[in-house]
Amino acid sequence: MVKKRARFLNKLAPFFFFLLFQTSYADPGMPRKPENIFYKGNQYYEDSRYDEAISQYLLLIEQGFESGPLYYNLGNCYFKKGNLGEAILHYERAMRIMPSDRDLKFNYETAKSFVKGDLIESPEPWYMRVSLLFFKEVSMDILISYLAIIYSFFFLILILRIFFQSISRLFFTALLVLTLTFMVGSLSLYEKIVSIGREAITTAEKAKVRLEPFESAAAHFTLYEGMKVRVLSFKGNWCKVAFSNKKTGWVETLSIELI
Amino acid sequence: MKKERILKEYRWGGKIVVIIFFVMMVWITPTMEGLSINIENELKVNPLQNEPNPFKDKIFLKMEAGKVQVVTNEIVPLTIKLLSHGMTIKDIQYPGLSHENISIAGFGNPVQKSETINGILYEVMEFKTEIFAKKEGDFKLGPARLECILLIEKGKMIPSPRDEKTAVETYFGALESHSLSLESDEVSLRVIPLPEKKRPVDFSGAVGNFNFTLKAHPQEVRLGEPITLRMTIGGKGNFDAVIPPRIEKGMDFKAYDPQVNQREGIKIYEQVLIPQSEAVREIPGIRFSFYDPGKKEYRTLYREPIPIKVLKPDVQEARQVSSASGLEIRDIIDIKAFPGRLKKKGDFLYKKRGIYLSPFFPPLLFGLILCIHKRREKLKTDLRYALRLKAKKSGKNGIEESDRILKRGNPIEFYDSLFKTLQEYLGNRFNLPSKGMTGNVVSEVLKSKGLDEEVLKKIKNLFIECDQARYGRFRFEKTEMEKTLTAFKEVFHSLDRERRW
Repeated sequence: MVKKRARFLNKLAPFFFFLLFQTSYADPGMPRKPENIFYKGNQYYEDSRYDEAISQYLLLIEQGFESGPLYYNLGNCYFKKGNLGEAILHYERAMRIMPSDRDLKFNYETAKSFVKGDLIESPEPWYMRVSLLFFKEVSMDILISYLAIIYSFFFLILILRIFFQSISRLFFTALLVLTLTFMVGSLSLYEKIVSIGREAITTAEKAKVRLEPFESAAAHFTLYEGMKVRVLSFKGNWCKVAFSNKKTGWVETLSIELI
Repeated sequence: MKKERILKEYRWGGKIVVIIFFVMMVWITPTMEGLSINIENELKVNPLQNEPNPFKDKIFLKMEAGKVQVVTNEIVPLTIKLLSHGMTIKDIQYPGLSHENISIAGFGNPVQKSETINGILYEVMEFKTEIFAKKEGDFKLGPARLECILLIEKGKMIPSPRDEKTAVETYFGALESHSLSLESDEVSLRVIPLPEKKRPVDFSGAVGNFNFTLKAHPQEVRLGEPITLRMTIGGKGNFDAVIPPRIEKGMDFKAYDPQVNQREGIKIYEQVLIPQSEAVREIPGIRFSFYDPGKKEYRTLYREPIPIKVLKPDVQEARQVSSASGLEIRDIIDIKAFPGRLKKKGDFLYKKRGIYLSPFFPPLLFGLILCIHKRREKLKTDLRYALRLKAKKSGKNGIEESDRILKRGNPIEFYDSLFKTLQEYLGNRFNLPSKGMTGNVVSEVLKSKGLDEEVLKKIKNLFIECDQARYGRFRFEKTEMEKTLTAFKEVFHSLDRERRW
């Protein structure tokens, strides 16, 4: 019996050693876990080696990953380097994922305060203001979940009404509230989705916005680093943008970067 | 409303006696003491305004100021007294008076008391208020005026003695009401300016005898958090003229306008301060100066500085780095220690296909539950429908059972089953008692319902065949059983299609 056990263990031994080899030794040639790349970047940031930190974070993005904290840290790195446009760009990307984060909001406002020129916010239509009031600080995915829950509740109440006929007033009130909330939420979600690929940040220090898409066209206004624009269309190396106070014009694609 | 009619008039004992019939309105109101009876007094109320007050020694108005010489903003008590002796007065109004250049507060509730003047005991109704002058000069206050109703013996202009009479007796008695307008004498007031000598620099016009407390809460804050400074001024004097000192906006504090709360004898100011740096160690001491008219001097109350502690803000440690452009960079909050949920880039929920299928499930579920519920309701309420369904189900089951028996090849069992199925089916289908149903009975009933002749014939034949097989000496072969079953199926299907019953 003892001999049998010994032979069995001997057969298993190489397997165990193989496992041990895998877990204890980190072959530099093997791909690192994404979290480790992130922590490495943090370490560089702590040592004020911002370029190395940026390269680590960008490596994660190149591998196809993203998260709110990742963009936030990138924004911090660029800010420390004095690169305002890139900082605001990455803060904006982080806002899409974690819009209610207080630290992010603080740093974003701090960065925005350094943007030159007048950041005139054009007044939005009343329905957009209403939808933003409730859902500005809710990310897209969470908003979709909320809408799904509201939608399900709507039908749940209809089902309950089949069995409980006596709750008429409550029933109509609940349906009305759910319908209104759903409509406002849908509007907000639509706006968020539509803005993807449609908003950009000026990354060049200064960019002239021209009336037509060529160099010799008259300059309409100037965009400064960090300013947010709405992209309307592309034409070659130029793209048509709309600025906050409804001015439109053409700017070189290299001067801006999509959020 | 009163209607009166003279019924009879006659002489008796040298006097003329008149018997009067009348109707009067009476209001009966429940009160704490019982019932209050008010009789509308239609007696004419004679105004005495245009006549000199014939009872001026018995009823008059008096106005007295607490002081005849005051300083500006000094509060002076003013008393207006309605004095009466042996009079019945009602409906006493609040007094009014002219008071140019003098501010007057509202009258409080009047106080009733007695006062002896020149040996005569008067009933007094006292109205008290306070006045102050905003500028110096000689001013005349009043005269004060007061309206009331006086009850006098009818035709005699003799005031009614002040003994209790019931409302009815008063009505039937010799009393009549007279409105009376009383006027007091004027009161002179000399207002002198506040002395210039020894006037404190921070004096802002407060006159009276005050006390002053100062509190701050909290006394330990983080940078950027507010401290509430509470200044409480109490005592006696002109609170309207009190403007307490405040902390001005400066290098150490961001100061907001104070909120005021004033009550009887107290005024509270609350001012929000926000320390601007961690180096701020105290809220500076505050002085409050006022003029005490009692002591005829200025007084200053000083409250010591309040120590405070300002801690660092509750954020992660920030580092200060100068930018490449040379701009001074404000601190930002430090990086995130954890990466959060690292998801695929651009992987949002709205891009997933499943999200577009999911909206169909709730309405489908709702529709399904609604249909089931409606069907159940119909089965409960629509008997004909319920029976038709039951018949169909029993017919189908019966056919299947008969089919099985047919395959086994047992004729008696087959015809038994078929007979039972026939009874049950027709009974449910036409709402007839299934037990005891025979071919003749069924034919008659079904004929009256307008059933097709062909189908009727088939049903009748089925019953006959079943009876023959069960009770007769006939022996049915398998082919005959199959024909019978087919016939039954035809009957079943044709009846099932019918919607008339």
